[in-house]
Amino acid sequence: MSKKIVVIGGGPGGYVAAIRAAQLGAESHIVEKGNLGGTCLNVGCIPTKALLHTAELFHAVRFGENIGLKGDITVDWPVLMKRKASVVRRLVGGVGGLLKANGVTVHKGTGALVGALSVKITGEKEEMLTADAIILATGSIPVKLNFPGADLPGVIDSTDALSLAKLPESLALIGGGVIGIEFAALFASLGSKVTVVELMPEILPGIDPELAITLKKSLQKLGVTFLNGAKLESVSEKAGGLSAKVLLGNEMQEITAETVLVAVGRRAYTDGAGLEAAGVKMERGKVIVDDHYQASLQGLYAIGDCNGITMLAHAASHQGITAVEHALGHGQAGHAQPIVPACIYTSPEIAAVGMTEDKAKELGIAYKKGVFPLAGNGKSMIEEGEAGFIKILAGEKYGEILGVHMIGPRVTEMIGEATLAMRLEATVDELITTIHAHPTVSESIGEAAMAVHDQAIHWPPGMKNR
Amino acid sequence: MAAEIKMPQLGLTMTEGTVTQWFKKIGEAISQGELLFEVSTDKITNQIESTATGVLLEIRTPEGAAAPVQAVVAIIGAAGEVVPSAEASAAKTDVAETVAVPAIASAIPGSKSAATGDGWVKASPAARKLARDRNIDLSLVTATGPEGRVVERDIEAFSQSRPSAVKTSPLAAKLAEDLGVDLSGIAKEGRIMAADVSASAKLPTAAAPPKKVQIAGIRKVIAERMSQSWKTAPHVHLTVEVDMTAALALKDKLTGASGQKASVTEIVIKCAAQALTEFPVVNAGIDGNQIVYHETVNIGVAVSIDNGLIVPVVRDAANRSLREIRAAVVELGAKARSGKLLPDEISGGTFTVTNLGMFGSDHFTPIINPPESAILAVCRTVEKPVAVGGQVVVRPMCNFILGFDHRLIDGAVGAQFMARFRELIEQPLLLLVG
Repeated sequence: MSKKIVVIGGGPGGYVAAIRAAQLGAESHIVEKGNLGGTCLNVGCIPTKALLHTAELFHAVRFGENIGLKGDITVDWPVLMKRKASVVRRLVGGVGGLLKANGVTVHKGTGALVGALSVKITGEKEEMLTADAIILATGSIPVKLNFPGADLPGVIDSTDALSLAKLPESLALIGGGVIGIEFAALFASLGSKVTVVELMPEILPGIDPELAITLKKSLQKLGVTFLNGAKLESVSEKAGGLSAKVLLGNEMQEITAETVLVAVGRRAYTDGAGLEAAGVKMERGKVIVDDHYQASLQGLYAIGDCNGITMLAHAASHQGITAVEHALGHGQAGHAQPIVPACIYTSPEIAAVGMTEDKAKELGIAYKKGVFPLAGNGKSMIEEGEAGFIKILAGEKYGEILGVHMIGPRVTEMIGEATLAMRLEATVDELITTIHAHPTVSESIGEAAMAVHDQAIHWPPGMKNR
Repeated sequence: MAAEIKMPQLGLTMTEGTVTQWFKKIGEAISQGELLFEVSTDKITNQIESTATGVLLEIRTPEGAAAPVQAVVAIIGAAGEVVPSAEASAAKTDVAETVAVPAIASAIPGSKSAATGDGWVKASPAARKLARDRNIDLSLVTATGPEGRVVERDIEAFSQSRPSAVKTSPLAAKLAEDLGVDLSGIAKEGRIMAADVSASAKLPTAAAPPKKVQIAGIRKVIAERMSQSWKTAPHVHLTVEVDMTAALALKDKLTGASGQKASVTEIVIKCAAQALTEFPVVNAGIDGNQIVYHETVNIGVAVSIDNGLIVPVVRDAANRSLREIRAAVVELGAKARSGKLLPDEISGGTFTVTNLGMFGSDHFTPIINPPESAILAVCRTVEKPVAVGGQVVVRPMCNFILGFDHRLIDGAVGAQFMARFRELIEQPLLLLVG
């Protein structure tokens, strides 16, 4: 008799887990209250990238005199919204098709845990499902900030920002993390006047500071204003828009903007899933799990944003597969520390995998650093990405890849090589002896690996590379 | 064009060979396939045939001389041809070998292996090197080269075809090399990763480094003397089990008679001294090429001290009374433990007694204290059932072991010495007889 798996949540963690369960011969069920695809497909990765694609092209053409483009162009906002919706719809439909093709039963409704291995579904009809294993994949929601004026019209979160009626002329962006910075790049490229308010002294905490500063400079060129170490106090209505009061040091500053976008992060969403009642161990709303993503109850797993380990879609998918394989007795041992790449879709792009220099220092790991500026790479020059660079951190003794940090054109498409190298425990020597196609930006990965030995080919020895 | 004849490698471990015979003289004509010379190694002798046709122009390795593998041993060319100098030809490396042993495999069309009947495999130098690097047995490789030679591509093909012995990540390979871990010893399905190597090496995680102390002072003296003794003197150890009934009774009588505590030690020393006077070679020593027979019996008594071991000497034990010996042992022991021994109190010994009986040892093999030639080990005395006159009785028994230098003392002499020693211990009255 085949085992029965019930997945709660149809995002990139949940639907992947459900398909994997079906592949392994289990009776697979998935419960989703909204659209399949979760935050990622509906209000996250996909729609933002759809908008960023247009924004990038618009910006390239609008400031394209240097590359031989001339002409007046404007953004057709309603068409852009339709295009975004169409991409989302097709992908969501695709997920539904995949689930069906794999024989996964989709239950419309809200799933809540009842006891250890039972799920109650409330929706169009009520249902009870009992399973051999339950995969919680309930995702996350934007963190809401409490401040005077938080409920005013025009104060929006990242979900609202994807379906604005029109492009705002000015935007105050509260939060300088990945989501905030992507929106800053998006709206600034489309022509909005953007001000970023970030509590921390620098933007993009957790990212290699040299990458963050390089991106910040490039966004400043786009006209973005940064207020670092600044705290939002209140928002009030003002003639023609909103006024945000921001405490910068001891000084109160006022930012006038049509829209205030609050993007201060996301939190695990486990409300109403019946976890406390079932006795599942939690910490600040996140489900505590082991290396196989199993929660404190036998047979109950929590993957993706709801365990708060790595709040990225691809991490959720990986965790979903690992959890299902464990539940069904397949696959390898769990990964205590999976190697998860992270990308920021700005212009230039940022991509990173592995540890930062700060982390290596904190852990007392002796490392060597190889930095290759993209000014030494032909394809980067063509794509106006000379400000970027690639930094490789390698173990001092064996040269194993500890971390790869990239900023430049197309680097999000290049992080796969670095991730695979780390996954296979490659050393810089393998990166050096791997032939990179010319002309590509990816040649710079090999160069950065050579730079670990101070032997980059396309950079003069001794010349400053940062 | 002159052809070089080289010393063939007749097996993977061969590094050089001795030419034992030339079948042709200089100036003689030879054709391909004719026997040219005979090679001997410590393992085999082979007759080598020429692959070149012409005149034997030069012999560089005469009969009886040895040459390393691949060295040019002779030149064959056209009559009157000028022979390239040895230096010039030595500069050329990796030219194809022109020597093959009588080739069985190559003579058979379609033969798969280049191995000949005697294990010699025809292979190009590059193929040979590659095979060595990859630890591949050439005789298993299918040859596709000219004349059935194994060439580089054959090694590559063989490497591809055989299931790779170990798959590792690059980091794991580096780690294994660094830590000296044998990757083939790691049992794992699939690819060996760094964590597997670390686990295999059982890395002491953050363990304190072992404490290191310079070998100095008395420890250095002990180390040098013991290893000198062990390396130079072929030790024989001979054990006898002795009934201590009479010796213990004597000890009690002595204590009663003198009012001073007596011990078995002085009885053992006295008995050993008596036996030594009867077996002078056991009381002798070696000095260079000479045997030194000592006039007096000076018995060293090994005393354990804080940081080592010291052997004060009871002089002229054969001529001293039990009481005198007792007094000397007590005094020397006290001085040893308080570090007050004088140089002449620890020198001049001719024989040593060492006792580990107080620690409960039943047997041990003492190392001779050079330049002496014998040492007597005393073990614990323990009550045992023994057969006496057809009856099982309980007796205090003790093992004595004589360690002696076989260069001087033969087994029979050692055995006779110990027999006499046992006789004296078991019947101490004989000491009075002398």
